[in-house]
Amino acid sequence: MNIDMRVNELPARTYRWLQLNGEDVSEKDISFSAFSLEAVKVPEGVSLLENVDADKAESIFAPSHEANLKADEGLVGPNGDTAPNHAGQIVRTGMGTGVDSLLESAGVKATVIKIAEGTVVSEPVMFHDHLSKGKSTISRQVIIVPDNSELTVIMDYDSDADADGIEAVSTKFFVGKDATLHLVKVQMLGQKVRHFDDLGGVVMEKGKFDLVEMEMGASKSYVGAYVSLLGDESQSLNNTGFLGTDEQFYDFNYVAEQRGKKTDSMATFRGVLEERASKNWRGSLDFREGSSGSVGDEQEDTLLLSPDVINRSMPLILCKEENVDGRHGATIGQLSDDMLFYMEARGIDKETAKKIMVRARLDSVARMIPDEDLKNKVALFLDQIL
Amino acid sequence: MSEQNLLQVSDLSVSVDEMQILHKLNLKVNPGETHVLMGPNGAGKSTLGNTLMGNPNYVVNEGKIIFDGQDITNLSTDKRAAAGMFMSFQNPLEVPGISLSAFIRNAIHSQTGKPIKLLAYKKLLESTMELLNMDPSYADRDLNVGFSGGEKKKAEILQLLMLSPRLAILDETDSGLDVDAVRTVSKGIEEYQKRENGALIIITHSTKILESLHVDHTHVLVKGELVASGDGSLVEEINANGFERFIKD
Amino acid sequence: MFDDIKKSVADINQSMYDFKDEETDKDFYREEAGFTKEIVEKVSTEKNDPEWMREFRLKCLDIYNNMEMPNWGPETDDLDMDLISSYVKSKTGMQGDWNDVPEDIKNTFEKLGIPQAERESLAGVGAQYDSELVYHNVKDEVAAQGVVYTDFESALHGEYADMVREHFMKLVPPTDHKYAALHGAVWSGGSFVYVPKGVKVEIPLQSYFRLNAAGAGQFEHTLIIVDEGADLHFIEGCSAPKYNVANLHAGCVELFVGKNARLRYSTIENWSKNMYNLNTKRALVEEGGVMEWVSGSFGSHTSYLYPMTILQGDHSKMEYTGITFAGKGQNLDTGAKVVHNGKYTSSVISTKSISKDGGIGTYRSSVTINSGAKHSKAVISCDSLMLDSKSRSDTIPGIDIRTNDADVGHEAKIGRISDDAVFYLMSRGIKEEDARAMIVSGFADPVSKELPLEYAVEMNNLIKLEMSGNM
Repeated sequence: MNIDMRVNELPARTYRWLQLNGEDVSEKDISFSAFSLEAVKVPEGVSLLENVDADKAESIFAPSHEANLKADEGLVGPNGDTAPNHAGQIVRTGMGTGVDSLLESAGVKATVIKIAEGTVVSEPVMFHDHLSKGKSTISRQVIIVPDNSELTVIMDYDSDADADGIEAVSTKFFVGKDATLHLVKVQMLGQKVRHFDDLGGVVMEKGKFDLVEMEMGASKSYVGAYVSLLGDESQSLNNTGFLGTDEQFYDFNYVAEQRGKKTDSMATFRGVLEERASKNWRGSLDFREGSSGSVGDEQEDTLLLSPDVINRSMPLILCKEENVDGRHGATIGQLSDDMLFYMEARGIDKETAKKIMVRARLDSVARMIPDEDLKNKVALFLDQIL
Repeated sequence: MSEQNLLQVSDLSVSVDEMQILHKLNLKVNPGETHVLMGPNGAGKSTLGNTLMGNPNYVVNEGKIIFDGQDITNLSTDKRAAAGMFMSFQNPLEVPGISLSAFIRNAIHSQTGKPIKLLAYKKLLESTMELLNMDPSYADRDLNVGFSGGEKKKAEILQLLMLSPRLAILDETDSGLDVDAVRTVSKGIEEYQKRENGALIIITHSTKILESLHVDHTHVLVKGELVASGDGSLVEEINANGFERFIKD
Repeated sequence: MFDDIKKSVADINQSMYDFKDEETDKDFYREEAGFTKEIVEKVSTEKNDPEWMREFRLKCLDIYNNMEMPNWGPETDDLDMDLISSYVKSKTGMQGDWNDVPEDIKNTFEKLGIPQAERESLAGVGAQYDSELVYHNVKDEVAAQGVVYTDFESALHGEYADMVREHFMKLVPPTDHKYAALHGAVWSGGSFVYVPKGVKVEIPLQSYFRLNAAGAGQFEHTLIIVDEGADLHFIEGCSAPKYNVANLHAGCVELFVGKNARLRYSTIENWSKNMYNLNTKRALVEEGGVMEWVSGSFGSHTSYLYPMTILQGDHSKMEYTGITFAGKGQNLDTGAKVVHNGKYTSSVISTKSISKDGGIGTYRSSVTINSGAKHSKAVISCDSLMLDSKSRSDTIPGIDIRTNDADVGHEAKIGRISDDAVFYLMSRGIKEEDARAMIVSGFADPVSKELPLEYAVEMNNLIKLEMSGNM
């Protein structure tokens, strides 16, 4: 099949010439040969249902979808609002409706990962995919963490060094009241693979969504996450690390939609661009009417290490509620002279100092991975690249 | 004569942002000596420290810095460190993602060119931290991230002891510290004096830190010039009378 | 001085637009043509245009009719271009009476007192009434320095005709956006300022625009050239009375800041609240030059306003300080754009935005650092204040960096008036309403500090007025 879709649309459009309103993806003659990720580890207490019809798997989102539609009637959106483009999505995702259509036309069934209400599973569920040369994969998961329960899900993707297809992953999640989902995604694909990672979900009252994400491989990665904090006092925590070398291209779109009262979203994006790598990052805090007492904070810290890199950022704060506290900060540039001097004063030369700083950035995210083997794998992967 | 000098600064003029701060400054430091550099705010004390360490923001307009017989005036900072110079920073930088322990090990490796054995290193680090009353958990915390002012200063002294330089420049290491922390820091400095027979240039505008330290020479810097030099007793005098006398000159 | 202006503008246009987004047609709708060749030719004849200008106008009309509306800003559905075009067609010979001015706007600007300000603190004043400049005056000593300050029509025919032709709509080409094209086709009135090499104008020049007729469009053109080493502060004030029919302001400001020159451009905009303010302002800064913008947006129904600075020369600088107060019925989409092309260039953008009574305030910006702009620095900080939950406040900044040798910091904050602060002031005996107004004034303080005293006072009065809901 051919793929032509616009992904990672900004919640509110801006100047066209900036070319950051969304990203167009075009792929020719793709045939997907695999439709699920390999479940490497399924601890006791976790049920894994494969080949579930999407409608059935996603029915859990119907009540919140309807409630949102109702709440949004007559809503005064931001200038250039793109929300209407996504009204049909039962749960909004970062990459958007394009991926839904792709899943539909590829006929992908869902894998449902679920635990019982009130259970805490401390061992992580682990999924893995290894993409072989000449192959493309597409998969969809629905993770359901009901009230008063806690679950950790880890997904990692790698490939043959010369793999040249697409690794497409769609993940939707439901986090119930007082429940917690820790989701870890690690991407270590080969330098010719294209990666789609579409994520979206809802968090109910006092629920918590905790995302750790590392994007390090692939030629082009499109990564989107849309977290709806529906319940009062719900939380979203996001730590992303990325490494761009060679001609790698990243296109990110993160949205924290804060609807409940006293919701809390905190996001940190830390990364490095080297050689001719480029990156688009869109990060939005969207405070809806009624989200009083909510706080949101997004921080981007991108280190630029070559004159040929392109770094583009769109940090949005959208706000329809008086009683909120929203913040965004970005630090973009090369290693500061002060930092270099400090390192050099300890006898570390410039090149080594740069290496240390690159590694430090990625390690600061990698250490949040709750699995030693995967942590070591990440370290090995970085040793090879850096 | 000059062979026995560890550091010889001659006619050093330095400017920052095209403004001249130091004027034809001369200074000699012999191995094992402790020098104290005092002076009012804005006199150029930190400029001297940064220039000796090779901070690129400080431009040497004239003069020479000879360290251990080698002209280092144009040497890069990392090479000065490898040659045995150390400077403690007033505001040590924060590096998320690299632990204090890993950073020091990295620095030792860079300076000596040889990796240090992990077990031996850990042992040495632990005992040194104990000497400085540092909680061992700090070894695994990110370098300076979330450290209090006092903890940052202690971490600098820890690096001093671990890196064993031949000349250490301590830039306002005592500022903003409470009494206990000053005592700990000066204990660390004392340890450095006796363990390494290390030379010291202590930049300070207070005298608290000097109470328990042996001082060989005291210099007073005013408006970028050394206006007076003496032995340790000069510290007492400044303590009693301030810098007024020197400023009038 | 601007010998290579064509080349540098061409470079900029290339660097700015060669990556123009090709979005699909479905995202846009096409505006029905409200302007005809006949209208444009009539304007041209009445203005006694030189031939090149007549041709230029017609070319712009063609561009206008073939261009898409922006799909990202506030709605402009209520703007009836047919009405506005019929006004432009029949506008000549317009007379107006100051007594027609509604009380609120008269109060506002009588306090500013143009004639009085001229006597006391201004080097020169120009006042545009609807489409024509009705009044301008330059102090003798400023004129003696060689400073030229004249209405645009005279400039087209006078001593500086070549200079005007060389610069007119070169910085803001008609292809820039639909309203720039419209401006090119029907522009009328405005000012031309030339400050010769090394001349420092000690007191500000002021121009004052007022739009008086219902359903009118104002399309004045301002061209300021500050030659090498020269220094100027230019103040622009805008107002219009209130009618039920939407008014359109699509002015264009082109500023050329020469080598080591400095230009400060201050605006306090208080158009009436049925105005569509679709104004384009742009500055080109040569080596070592400094461009300073101070911008207060209080009026208008709808605004699209993003003064843009192109830091072309090495070591050139720009500073933008802005405040926007979006009250009831207003949708003010404002901000700034900067492009760093030269080495060692620096920009500082700091804005304050206040939303109240259902107003929509949007801060929108772009900071572009091109690959040649080594050692550049950009600092952006935008603070927004929400005064109630009927309103909206959105922050939409874009950053595009194409070199590693740049240092970019961005900070944005959104919040409310802290209850603690109100309580503290009230505990000292201040009424709640006054306490809130004081806090908002304090929030706006960094902007008012940048204004000449009488304008700062005026701005604070405007804030008080908005805060008391007395509109």
